[in-house]
Amino acid sequence: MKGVDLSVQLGPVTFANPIFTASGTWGYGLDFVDLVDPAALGAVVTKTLTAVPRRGNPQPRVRELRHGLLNSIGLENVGLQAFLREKLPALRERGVRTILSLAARESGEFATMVAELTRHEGWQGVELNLSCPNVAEGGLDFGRDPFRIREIVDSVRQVLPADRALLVKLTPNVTSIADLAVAAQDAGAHAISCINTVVGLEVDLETRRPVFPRAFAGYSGPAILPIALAKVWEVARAVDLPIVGIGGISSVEDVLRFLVVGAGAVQVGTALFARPTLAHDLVKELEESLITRGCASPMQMRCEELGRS
Amino acid sequence: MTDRRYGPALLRAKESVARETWVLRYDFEMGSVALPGQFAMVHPGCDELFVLPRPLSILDAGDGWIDFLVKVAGRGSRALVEADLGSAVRILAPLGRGFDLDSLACETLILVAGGVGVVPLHLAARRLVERGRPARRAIFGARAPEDLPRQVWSDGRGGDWELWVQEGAEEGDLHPGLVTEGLERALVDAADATILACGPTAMMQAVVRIGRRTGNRVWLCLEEQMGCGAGVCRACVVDLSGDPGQRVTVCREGPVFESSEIRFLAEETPA
Repeated sequence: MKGVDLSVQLGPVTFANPIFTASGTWGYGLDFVDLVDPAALGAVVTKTLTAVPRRGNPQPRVRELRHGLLNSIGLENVGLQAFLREKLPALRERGVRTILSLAARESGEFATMVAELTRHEGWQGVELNLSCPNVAEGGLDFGRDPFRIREIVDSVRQVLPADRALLVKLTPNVTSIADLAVAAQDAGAHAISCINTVVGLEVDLETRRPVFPRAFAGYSGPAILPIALAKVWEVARAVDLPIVGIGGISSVEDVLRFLVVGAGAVQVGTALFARPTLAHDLVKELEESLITRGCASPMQMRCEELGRS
Repeated sequence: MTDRRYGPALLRAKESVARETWVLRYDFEMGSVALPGQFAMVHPGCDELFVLPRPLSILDAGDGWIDFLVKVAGRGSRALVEADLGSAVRILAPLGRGFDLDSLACETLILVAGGVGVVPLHLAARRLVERGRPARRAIFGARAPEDLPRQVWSDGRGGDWELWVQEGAEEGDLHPGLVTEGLERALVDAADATILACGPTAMMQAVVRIGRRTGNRVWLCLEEQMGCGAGVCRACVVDLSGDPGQRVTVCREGPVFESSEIRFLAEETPA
């Protein structure tokens, strides 16, 4: 049996393997360097960055449910400038393939942030977080409107260097995610990241109120895996772009499921809290699984019904 | 920087030591000696049922083993104490900033513990005895006599503990009431003492109020709901004093803080 080619191409950028970390679940990629080498992953997607630092939401911020996790962190982050100053040089030095997750207060700000990024080296792409449910000014409004998505993606493409990848992360909390993916594709996105968290709510029976002050929170973990698979399938039938599957991955079988429904790469998220080295384990396990199944590349797991991407 | 290790760990021994409370010993080798207050993230091992690992303060650790005191509080702690000997969990440890005994050992110390908050302070007490600088007084409070994990200190290596219970204090050596009464008495003989405390939030707030009134410094080991234990998920944030006051994680910058560092404790109006 020949070896497996795990590499994946997102627009102009080739990643050595299709296992990435999901935004918000592995910090800025430097927090576990004593245990694993972040450069061994296909890419690290950073915690979402905003133009100015954000303090995020008050407590409580997480609630574990039986098969998933509700979070209301509220995009707490160090801000783009501090990231570029304090984190990016270390990532670059370590050879980490870095995708910056970006969020903005208004649609024009995405392009402004990417323009700022062009003055720095050491990153391979950006992922537009158009869909965080946990902030008042909400990416969700951008993220639910195909017209706004087209506008934002177009403005970012105009300033993005030709050798960097543009990923657009979509919310599942809409009637037709395919419409959003088509808008992103039309405006020049290189890949669709799918999905962000599912809007959820938990109740405190003693106080008879929602647990989280903002009521709504983002649901992630194993419970949302079938939802994510359905959305990836829907997007795969609507666009020709590579899809980065996200949602509830905790085993190599879950990774394979995403490949079948049309993903070319995946992001591991919530499960990293329970197993900070899981993404690294999955790189190895994916290679072994593909060999066992006689596949020369992840693409060969893709369901025939979807055709070639 | 402490040398974290991460990996599977087998349950080697378990002993019921108080009501719904167990000492669990796992085979696990840390890369460095645990400071009192440092903790581990322990995942019960069944990924289908538990999305998050559980933060457990380190009771003690040695060559290839680590001990925790676990009081059943939910389904995660229930799974840990009901697991069979030889079953596996996953441990990431040691984590966080513990009590800095190198500097604290030079001071007169009073330890105040409530409930499972005894864990970091019992380890501190033992380390202080080993240094030949035992705490001036160690005070432990629980709801009732059956909540006192006496075996934990029965070997005497943590020195003498003064025991307070809110109900059922008829047994010989128990004091009736709250640990804060014990603290007030202890301060009479040790007006210059530094206080180390860990327990329920209301207890720690009461200790901080006493310390502020009497001018004694208070170091606390905080508890907060955690996701990762490593500072990345930002679940366990707490605001430091100051304006606007840095927002830090209990898991990485803590769990041990000086009380004036923490806004919600420093700014609380005296009762």
